[in-house]
Amino acid sequence: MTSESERAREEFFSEAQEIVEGLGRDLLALDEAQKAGHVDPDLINDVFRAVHTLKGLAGLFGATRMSSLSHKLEELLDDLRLGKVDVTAPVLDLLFLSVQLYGKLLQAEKEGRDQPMPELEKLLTQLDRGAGAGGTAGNGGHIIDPNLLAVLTEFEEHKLKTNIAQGNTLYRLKVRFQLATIDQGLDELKATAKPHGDIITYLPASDGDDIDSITLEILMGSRASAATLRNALHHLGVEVEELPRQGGGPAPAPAPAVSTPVQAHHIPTPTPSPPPVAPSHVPSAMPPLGHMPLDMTAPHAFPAPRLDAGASIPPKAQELGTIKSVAQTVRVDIQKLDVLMNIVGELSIVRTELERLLEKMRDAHTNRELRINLHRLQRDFERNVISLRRGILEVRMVPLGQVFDKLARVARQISREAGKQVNLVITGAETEVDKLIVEELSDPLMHMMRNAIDHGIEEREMREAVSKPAVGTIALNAFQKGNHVVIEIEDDGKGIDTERLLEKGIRMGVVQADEARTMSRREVLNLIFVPGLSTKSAVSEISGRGVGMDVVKTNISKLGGVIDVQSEPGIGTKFTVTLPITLAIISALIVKVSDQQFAIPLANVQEAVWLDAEAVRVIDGREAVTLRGSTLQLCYLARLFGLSDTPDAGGTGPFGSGFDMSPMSQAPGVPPRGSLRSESIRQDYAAAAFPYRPASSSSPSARTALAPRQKRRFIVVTAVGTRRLGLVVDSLVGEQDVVIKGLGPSLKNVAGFAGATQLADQRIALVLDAPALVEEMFAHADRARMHGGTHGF
Amino acid sequence: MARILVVEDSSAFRAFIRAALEDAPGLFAASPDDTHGEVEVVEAASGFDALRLLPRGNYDLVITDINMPDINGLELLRFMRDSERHRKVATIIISTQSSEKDRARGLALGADAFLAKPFTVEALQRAITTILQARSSLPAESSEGSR
Amino acid sequence: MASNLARRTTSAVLPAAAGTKRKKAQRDRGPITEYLAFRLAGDVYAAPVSIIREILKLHPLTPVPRAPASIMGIISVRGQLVTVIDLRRRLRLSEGPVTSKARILLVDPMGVELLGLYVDEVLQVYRLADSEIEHTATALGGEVASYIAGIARPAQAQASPQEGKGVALKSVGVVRQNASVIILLDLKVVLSS
Repeated sequence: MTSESERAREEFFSEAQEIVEGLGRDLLALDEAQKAGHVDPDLINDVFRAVHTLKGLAGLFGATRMSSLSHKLEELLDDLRLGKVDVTAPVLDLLFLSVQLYGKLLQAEKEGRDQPMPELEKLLTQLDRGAGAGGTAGNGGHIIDPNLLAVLTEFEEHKLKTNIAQGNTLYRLKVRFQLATIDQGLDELKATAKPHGDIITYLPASDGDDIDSITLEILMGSRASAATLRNALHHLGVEVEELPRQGGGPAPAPAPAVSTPVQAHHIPTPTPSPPPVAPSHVPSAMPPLGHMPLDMTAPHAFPAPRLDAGASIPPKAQELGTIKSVAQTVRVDIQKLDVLMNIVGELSIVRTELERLLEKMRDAHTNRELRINLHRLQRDFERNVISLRRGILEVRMVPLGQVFDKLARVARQISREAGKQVNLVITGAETEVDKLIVEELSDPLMHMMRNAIDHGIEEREMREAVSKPAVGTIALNAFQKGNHVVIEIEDDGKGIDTERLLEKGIRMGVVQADEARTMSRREVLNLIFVPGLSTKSAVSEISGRGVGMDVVKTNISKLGGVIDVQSEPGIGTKFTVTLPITLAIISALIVKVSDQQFAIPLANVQEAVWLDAEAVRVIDGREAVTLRGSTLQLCYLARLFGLSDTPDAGGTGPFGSGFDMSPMSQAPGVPPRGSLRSESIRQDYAAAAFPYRPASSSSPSARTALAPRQKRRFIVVTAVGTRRLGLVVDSLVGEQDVVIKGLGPSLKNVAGFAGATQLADQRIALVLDAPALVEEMFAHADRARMHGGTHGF
Repeated sequence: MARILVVEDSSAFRAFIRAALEDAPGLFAASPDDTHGEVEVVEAASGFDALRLLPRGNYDLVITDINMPDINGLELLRFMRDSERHRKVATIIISTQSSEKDRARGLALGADAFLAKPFTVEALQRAITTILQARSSLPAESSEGSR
Repeated sequence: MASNLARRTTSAVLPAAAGTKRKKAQRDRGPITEYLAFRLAGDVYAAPVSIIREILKLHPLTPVPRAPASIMGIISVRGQLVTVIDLRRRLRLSEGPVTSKARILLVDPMGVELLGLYVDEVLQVYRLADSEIEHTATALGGEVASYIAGIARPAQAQASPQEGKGVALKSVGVVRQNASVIILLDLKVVLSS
């Protein structure tokens, strides 16, 4: 294996994966079209070509099973696109099944496994039988200019014949493109022409071997009149010519294909055209709307007048915001981005270091001019690091639609299996999240989708009995909320039976009988995330859901997300997943707990306030304070982490002495002017509380560094969803952007940390997993009620 | 030094063909005792890409898939055949075994060889060797390229 | 980063491959493996040189609360986080004070995670033929921990010559002294427990 061929193999997997995903999308569109009763031949051809490519790839790379599946599938699709077989629901089922199997086959191929796949054998037999159903669209009897036939692929020939059979007029469009911008020009032309008919083929003409531009002749079939087409296309510099029918006369009414009279379309071969001269008509801007025919529904990428529409004037580089050609996308290995992200992290460290030096210079007697220049430089540097970081993050972002497409396929399949009719309504598919998150999301979401259909949506008769619409609805919504993404899966099914759930909980010993009375509805609902309660046997007894919901919850937690459930009997159930948009780099509040530094993601930080030991009360056996009128449970991190409880004690643990544990004096510890003043502190915290806004314009002055007060500690209020927890820390060091790095497998069982990050002074700070801590502390509170607590990590 | 344009909308196919071409020392040897004929592979992801790359390329060989969206391989072949500049370039077309018509049309348009997908590295190398030998036995038509 | 690099102590990087075969010394003693010997709680242990990627001086180490007792904490090696395991604790040995001789060995025996192993002191490289290693528990009688791959008595064992690795080791301050018994560790077993 040379590195070239290894690269080719890698390319094989990523392309095959991409094709299969696209295939799924096309099938969904085809499914919609079939239901609506109009199938776009181009769509079938796209599917055919995808399978065709897969077949070729599989053959090249020796993936025999993929090859045989593609081969059979291609035959079926060929019949579909050439009109020999009609697109029907059973045929679509086979296609959907095939997409699923492709995924499995690819996985097996990638892992080099070769286990038997009975479902593949079954599908292959079905595909054999699947063909041959449906009528054929006749297309015999036409005589087409052999010159044209010579350059048409079979599919294009079929399209041409279909157009003739439908009685469409054939047009020859002529347009000249600059090679440099041909992609954009063509996309625009396609988008404009599409509503008016069917583009059959493009014929490049070699006119005088001009190396910068090319003339294309485009064969198009359309019901529209020549005038309509000219109107629609002339702003793009397209000449429209109607091709005469043999025997002349206007287009006949559409006739049944079989009895179509013999007619030949004369399509002359493109003749070399002379070098372009300025066109006789200077194309004006688009005609005013009032003058347009009513059927002008073509989307115009350019509402603005264009001055460069002349065919012979080289179009300027066009900024086509909406139409991107495939050639503009680059496939990037996510690991390469991780490397870049690490560099950004290093740069952030340099930035912090620079800032520290500047602080020092402020006190020293340095040349003022030098200092100002350095300061300016540092600000520029900072700005660039921030945009670099943002840029990389954006590259990593992909739309959730990638997962939603998969979910839609799964939903379709499960609803068929379960014999339930389900309507899936998707919103916010364009919401973007980090690629890694998308990858990890698909399983949990798939699981919830399955639950919603299997256990949520009722049987048809049952729905009708309670006068609900016979067809169930599942809404899949995504939207951005601050720097989080929220995904909701909501069904209008029967809801979760909390009574049965509670009963079960008591029987399993998860809930004590006397506590059951005081449990809120919400607490009961949350039982479905408790391992053991969400087993199949339990669920079959509860007319609700929760199969594997504990696993779903664990997976979501791993991504730094939380999951919440709401359910109303008879009305439905809604699961809400809240996730960070990106995993790689975060703004964090650096705090100290008995001389060790920790980072708390700012996304989870609401505010930080002084802790007044006097104000701590014990409520429900938990320490808490009252903050702005509501109770805030406290969590003493030093205690939780088993660190010495006296702030600023010396070395900790057995290694304290042996290592270079310099005191924190190195950290920026200059109390900024205008920071908290002790006299403003009152019992009720209200005045003392300062909102801890993530510094969007993080200029050094906005970064707050508070000198540790004697024995004065802080509460960092973290919020996850609707739950709040006060983390008690010794001091606040400041805000920083940090690159989170995962802890190795050897630490995977240590709960409460999302990772670690390197700070400016070569130290490492552990990053707190705030959602998990909140979870844990609330579980602690419930532990009085429940045995075993929750250990999802 | 041979320059080859590979026109194919599948990136994995392009990568495969590139590997096949670059892995064959001597395939493009100028003479029997030249053991390391160099080859430069240029990739086009569509018919349009090919149109863009052809004029400035001075290619010795164009390998093109037939079934591509918009401008298919046959149209590209005819474009080359009609052009003064590209008429002499050797061409290999790729399509599936099943599509008899595509194959026949391609050869009718003057393609030097046809390869059915999927093909082996050897088949591709054999086809190239055959074409190069056939062409080198003809009187040289131009001084372009260095075969 | 640059400034950190400047401050970072240089560490010896060991080539992973076994060294040159010395025909004279070999004399049908079976294949020869090189072992790095190190001191733990007063005794001499060794592990195959081939799995040791690097020997580091002590880095600033960050303890991880709630982690198992044998995990010392995490260090950053050129931007990568590495978990450091205290071999003394993992092998249930006594713990003396940490001195400046202490080192961290970077290993990845399973191919899943780069780990740091704390040792009290790095000694030297021994070239041991298979025949010189007592593989069975017979040498020590009954209850031998599963992580012991064998023992060697370096009276017959050859210290590695001063070339190549020897030089590298010198630069990390190796004191050459012969031990009477070397316990060869099976790190896979040690680290998977």
